[in-house]
Amino acid sequence: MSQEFLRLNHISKSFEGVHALKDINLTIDRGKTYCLVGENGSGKSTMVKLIAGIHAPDSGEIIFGDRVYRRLHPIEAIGEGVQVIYQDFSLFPNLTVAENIAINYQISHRRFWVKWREVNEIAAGALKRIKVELDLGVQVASLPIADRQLIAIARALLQDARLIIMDEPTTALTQKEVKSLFEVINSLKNDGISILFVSHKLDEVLEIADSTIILRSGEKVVDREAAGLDRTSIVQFMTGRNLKPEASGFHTVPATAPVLLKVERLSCAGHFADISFELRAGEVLGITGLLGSGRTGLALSLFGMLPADSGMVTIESRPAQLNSIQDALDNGIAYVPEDRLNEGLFLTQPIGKNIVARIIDRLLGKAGLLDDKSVRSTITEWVARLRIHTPSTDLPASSLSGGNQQRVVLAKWLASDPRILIMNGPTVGIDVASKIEIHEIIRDLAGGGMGMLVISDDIPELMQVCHRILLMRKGRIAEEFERQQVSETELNTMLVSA
Amino acid sequence: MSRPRSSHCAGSIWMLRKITQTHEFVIAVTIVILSIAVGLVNPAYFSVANLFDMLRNATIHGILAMGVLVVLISGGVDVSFPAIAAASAYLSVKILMASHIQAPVWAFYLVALPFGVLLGTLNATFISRFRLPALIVTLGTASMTYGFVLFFVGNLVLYNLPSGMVSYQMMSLMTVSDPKVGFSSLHPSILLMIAAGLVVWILLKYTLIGRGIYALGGSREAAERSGFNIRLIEYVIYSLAGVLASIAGVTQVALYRNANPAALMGTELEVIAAVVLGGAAITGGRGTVVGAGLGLYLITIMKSSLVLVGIPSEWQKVVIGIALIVGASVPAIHSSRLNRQRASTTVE
Repeated sequence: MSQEFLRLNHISKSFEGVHALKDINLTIDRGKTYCLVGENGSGKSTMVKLIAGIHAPDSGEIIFGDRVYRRLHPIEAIGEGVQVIYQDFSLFPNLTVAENIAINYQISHRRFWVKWREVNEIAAGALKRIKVELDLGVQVASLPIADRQLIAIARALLQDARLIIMDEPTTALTQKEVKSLFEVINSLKNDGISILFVSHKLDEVLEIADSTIILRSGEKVVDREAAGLDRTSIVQFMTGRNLKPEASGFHTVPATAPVLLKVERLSCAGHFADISFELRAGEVLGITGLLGSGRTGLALSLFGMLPADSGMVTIESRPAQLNSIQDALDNGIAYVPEDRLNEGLFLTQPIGKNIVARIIDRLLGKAGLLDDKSVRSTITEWVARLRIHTPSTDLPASSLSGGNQQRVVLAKWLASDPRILIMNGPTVGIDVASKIEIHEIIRDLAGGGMGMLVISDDIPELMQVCHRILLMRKGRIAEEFERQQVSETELNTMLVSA
Repeated sequence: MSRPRSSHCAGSIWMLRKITQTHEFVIAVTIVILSIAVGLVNPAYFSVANLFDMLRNATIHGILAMGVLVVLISGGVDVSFPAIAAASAYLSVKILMASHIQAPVWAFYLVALPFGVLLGTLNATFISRFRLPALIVTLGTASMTYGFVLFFVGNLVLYNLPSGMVSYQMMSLMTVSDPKVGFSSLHPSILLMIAAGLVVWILLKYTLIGRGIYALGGSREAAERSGFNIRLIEYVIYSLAGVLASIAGVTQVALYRNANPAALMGTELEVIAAVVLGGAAITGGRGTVVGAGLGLYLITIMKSSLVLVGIPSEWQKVVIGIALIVGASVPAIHSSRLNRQRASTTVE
């Protein structure tokens, strides 16, 4: 049996005259793990869709063994064993684990009657193959993201998957969950199943991939064993530029800088307990911890969304009651949420309107109507300051890439001139180049005297931007570090050790 | 079903807890409490005669509720079923009267059925093929159907019904006499309601199309990607609602002993309220036959108990409105509580 499972032969694809992929040659072998990296718009998703048969190539061939396709249909791709696990997993939240796993099998076997015993047996068998135990009778809606992903993998296996493509599989996972996902992937590899990973997280790419494929503006620039690559060289290949990811312009916080935010013995039942820390003007304070460590609860509490049960918050030496979002805003606190698509942006609204949404009452003219001139100038100012790349601010926010969307969210909050900015997962799902720029923005803002709280489990990110890092575990602050005191590896180890 | 980390005993406690957490359990408890309360005020409530009366009152709505249930689970909505019911029944009576045959009662059902299928299919065509919102489509077909029947078929209420219909109205499975209430009988149409419930229950629980209806309500996109034939499912849903409406329509003619082209108008809200109170989500993906039945029964009790305890019948509308809002908000509260539980941390 040949090692080769799939070959792309001189594949090109363009959309409305724009080259998405240019003359791509690629081989995928059985039982190997590939990582596909590239900036937004580099052609990653086009490539995935070509392999899944969703798009047809303009020229070139897709070859499975001795079968050559010029136009691959989705049903043929599935027949060849290609399974794509999309970021949203395509699960049914209202159905049980067992049914979600078995439903595609039943459809493809053209069942009419549903035999519940068979459903449970199929599901149990599929979970056993990836050595995972889950309660089959539970509704998927009540499960964490990591479990849903395992369900999606189990379901793909039932369709006789030979190649599983995973789109950003680790974005919403904690480090621990990523570890167990990688174990599953390794056991699939041993069964001869190939994996194609699409990811922004370079450390994980280096850890799991046998081979790394890097795309830049539709061209394959690298396709080789992952062993010879490191983070810096991957970034270089992706961007074609020589970006220095190391902290540049890191300023020190003067010892005389005033304390902006003082939190004393803050507790909230079921979320966190006995939290005390200080944040000074110009300081970037990182808060890390696994999902469920209480880090998001703490952020929500400081933004008034989850009022604390006891403890005290002092803002610029004045005691503050943070019982509602309005209280937080009045105290000059802004919050950039983790889920920027749902909580941070009006996706269908123009970029410009998103930017001024928070400060609309300051832009009123004499008659109480919006003053178009000041609206325009505010928008122009922030687009320039945060370097938002868009042909027009009248386009909807949904037209932007992740990195630019995050900048719009930032602009919206910064326009309201906050003194304390809380950012939850500031660069989740954002490509490397944008990530570095957002880190620069964070450092600049702190340099300007703002107090920043950055909540993240991306350790390299915290090392890039933070002066101090608090590690939360089970709702309490377990450790506190100065950035210089600790290395990435040490912090990583402490994060996962229970 | 394998449930790791739980012994047999813990397992049965877990099952018990699972049952008590269901929406159906809450409704059932509410029914029991309300029944006791009303029974204390007016002991006539606990008579068999009253039970028969309530079942008779619930029959037509019960048949309609099964159609509404299926539509709601799929994430759609249907407000055209009263119009379909009235139109198909009225047409059926008109046609059979014009034909001068002494038609037995099943013939009325048989003639009404194709009209129900036709109008349901019309709904499905607009909703599925042209991807129009179900609320707008069914509002439109309801108004069209109603106007069409009034203009082309007739606008008179027919009281002089054919003999087949009349003898059906007087049929009884069982009669009881009660000194306080008088004679009360159990009409055989209750069997139609039970049959409708059984068919829908089997469809939803044991066929892949039924699971597809839940899947469609849970996530349309995922259902498409899984390879469900969404168009077929939507045709099944709305045609079934049409069929059930036509059965309910003919039953209504029989029980009220008149054929009215405007019959059942305004009942859509009450039926939807009952199904929603029974745990079906307006947003789709959730709902059961047992829940819908209990929801309907609860509303029936509330309505009839208002009469039994002497509250003016105008309050029935208020009760239905409250039921609709409570029904829609209880699952929402429940799920947001679940979310909070999931987000919380074990603080040591």
